[in-house]
Amino acid sequence: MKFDISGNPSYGDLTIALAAGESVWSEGGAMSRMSSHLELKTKLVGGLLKSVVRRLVGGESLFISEYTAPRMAYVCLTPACPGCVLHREMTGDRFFLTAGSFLACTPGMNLEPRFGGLRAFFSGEGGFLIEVSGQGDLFYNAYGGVVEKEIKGEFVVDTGHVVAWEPTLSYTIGGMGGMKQTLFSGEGLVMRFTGHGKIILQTRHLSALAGWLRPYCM
Amino acid sequence: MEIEVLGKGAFESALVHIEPGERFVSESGAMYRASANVDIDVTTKSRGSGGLLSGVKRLLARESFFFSTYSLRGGQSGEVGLAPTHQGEIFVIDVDPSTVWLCTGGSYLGSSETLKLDTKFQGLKGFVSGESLSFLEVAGSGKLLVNAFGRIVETEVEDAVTVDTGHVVAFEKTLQYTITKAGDSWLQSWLAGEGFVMNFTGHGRILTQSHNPSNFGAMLGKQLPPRKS
Amino acid sequence: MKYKIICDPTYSAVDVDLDVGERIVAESGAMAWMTPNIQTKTSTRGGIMAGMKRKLLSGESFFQNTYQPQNAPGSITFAPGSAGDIVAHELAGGELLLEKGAYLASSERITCDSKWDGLRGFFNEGMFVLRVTGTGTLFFHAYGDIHPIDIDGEYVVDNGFAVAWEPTLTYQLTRARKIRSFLFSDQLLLHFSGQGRIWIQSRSPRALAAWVHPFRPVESKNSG
Repeated sequence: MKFDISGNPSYGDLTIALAAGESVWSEGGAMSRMSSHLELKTKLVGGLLKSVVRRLVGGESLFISEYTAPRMAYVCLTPACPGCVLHREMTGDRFFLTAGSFLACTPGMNLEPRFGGLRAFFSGEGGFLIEVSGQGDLFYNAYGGVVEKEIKGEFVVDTGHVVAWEPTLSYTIGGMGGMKQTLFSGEGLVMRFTGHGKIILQTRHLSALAGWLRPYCM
Repeated sequence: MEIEVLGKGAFESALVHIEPGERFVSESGAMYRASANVDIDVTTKSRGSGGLLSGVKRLLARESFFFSTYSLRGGQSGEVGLAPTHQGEIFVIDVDPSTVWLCTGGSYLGSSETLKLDTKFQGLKGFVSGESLSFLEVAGSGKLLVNAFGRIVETEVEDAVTVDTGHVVAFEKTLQYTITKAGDSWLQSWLAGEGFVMNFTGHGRILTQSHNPSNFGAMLGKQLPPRKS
Repeated sequence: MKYKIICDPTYSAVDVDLDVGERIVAESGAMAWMTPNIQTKTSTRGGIMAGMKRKLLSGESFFQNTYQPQNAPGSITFAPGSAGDIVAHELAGGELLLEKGAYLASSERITCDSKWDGLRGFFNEGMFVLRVTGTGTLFFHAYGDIHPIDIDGEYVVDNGFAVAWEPTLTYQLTRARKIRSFLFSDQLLLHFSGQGRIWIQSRSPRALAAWVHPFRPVESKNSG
């Protein structure tokens, strides 16, 4: 499998070139164009019940589209929100993605939906995280511009701006301060990270866009 | 007439410079800036196909009912700036009598007055999906301005290419196509979030956009307060 | 205070470094990430009435937050909700008129007053304008690119695209001329005259709001 990411940082998309017999897993609905002879199958990841609940709750579906090439073919994939497409080579380690950030991966990788806790549920991201582990290529996306930060100690991030982080970091989710702060500050929930590791941040998120757009709606 | 593409980042818009006597057409409401000597004439007709019926066809397709025609007052040259709704690039297509272009309603930004615009419907297939599968057929001689959600990619079809309908911007009429669901079954498609695709064969050019406005709209719409109608 | 605009021009955000004793004010919800020693104070800035006036008339949030580092210097990054550019405008005791929704953040000695600019006789909603005065740095953002236009004479801008302008310019609201159909929803235009600079954005928030309308959930008729 060969891949090419183009269009970063504004409109990143991912093109996968498959040799005969090769497959790739992708988030459903991400295909923009492809060779007509590619075969498409839907797979369930994480078990039927979890997946159905997620889909109904409006979270990211973990129904994966599996594209298989009977002969050489290509498929072009894009995320729903424009921004950067990122690649990470997984070498048996673990990586955490927020809901909506998963784009595609080598088939057979472990994608485990995890409930981030009740507070995460109210953060507007549907409350789910995805724990990725295994071997292969992982492709994920950021809405907006990407900033990578190496954390040594503590850092505070609005939950909507978190894309991914290394498991060496631990975090708590909470409000900005007291009750008044949380309710009236207009800030969403924040994640306080501690430890040593990398976090991937995005400069936009959907609930902030919705908040900005709301006064213009009828 | 000269079309200048403005934009330093990922938001392109068109600044159309016109001389006295020249006219330019766009979707109504697309004008965002102009020199003070520009006149705007709003009609339901487009050259060659006319009247209320074609306007109604366009309305059913959820497209703007109206076109605006820009001309100049007085003897000075002027400019009209046209902006799309979404972030993304714009593209100028040189249409000549040897090619006929079909562009999706949401992708049409503006065109020379000399071009003939007509709507083409997909019929029942389009309605069932909820997608507005209608196209503007553009023929004649002149410039056609299209906009994309994201980047525009030009593909010359040789082998068969399948494009998700939400990513189609414009294509040449010389191409043949069928419209099918992406997945094996309706249930599969719903679960996987796959939509309709256009399977192109033959020879011709296709312009596609990197991102799908319907996918983006669905995600954004969920975060907004409910509407009354 | 030091600042740097990052990820421009499409998804701009601004990194601000603050020394002990320095403060910055921002629109609530604009904080993206920060060092843990930054203290957030939520206030109505100018009392309840000023805060309410801002919310009702200008569409700005009721509360603006003030951020201040504790014990050591700190950093905070602000990001707006819409995709687009950020402008850092230095005000030296002057005045700038700013569209609601475009305000992002400002240094301490800048004041924002709401100013109701109704569309008398028109049935569309009015354009809400903030009057910004003081000395310091004002950060405003847009949906799209921000183009400055230096007007000397006259220029026409669609109502939804004007972001900020200097008070030396006057403007009049007009409708698109020669409207021939009753079904047409009016395009409101701002006819600027005079000498001064205007900043316009290359996309319209209202057009996006109209486009996303059918994607919103429908209010259920049974809701109490």
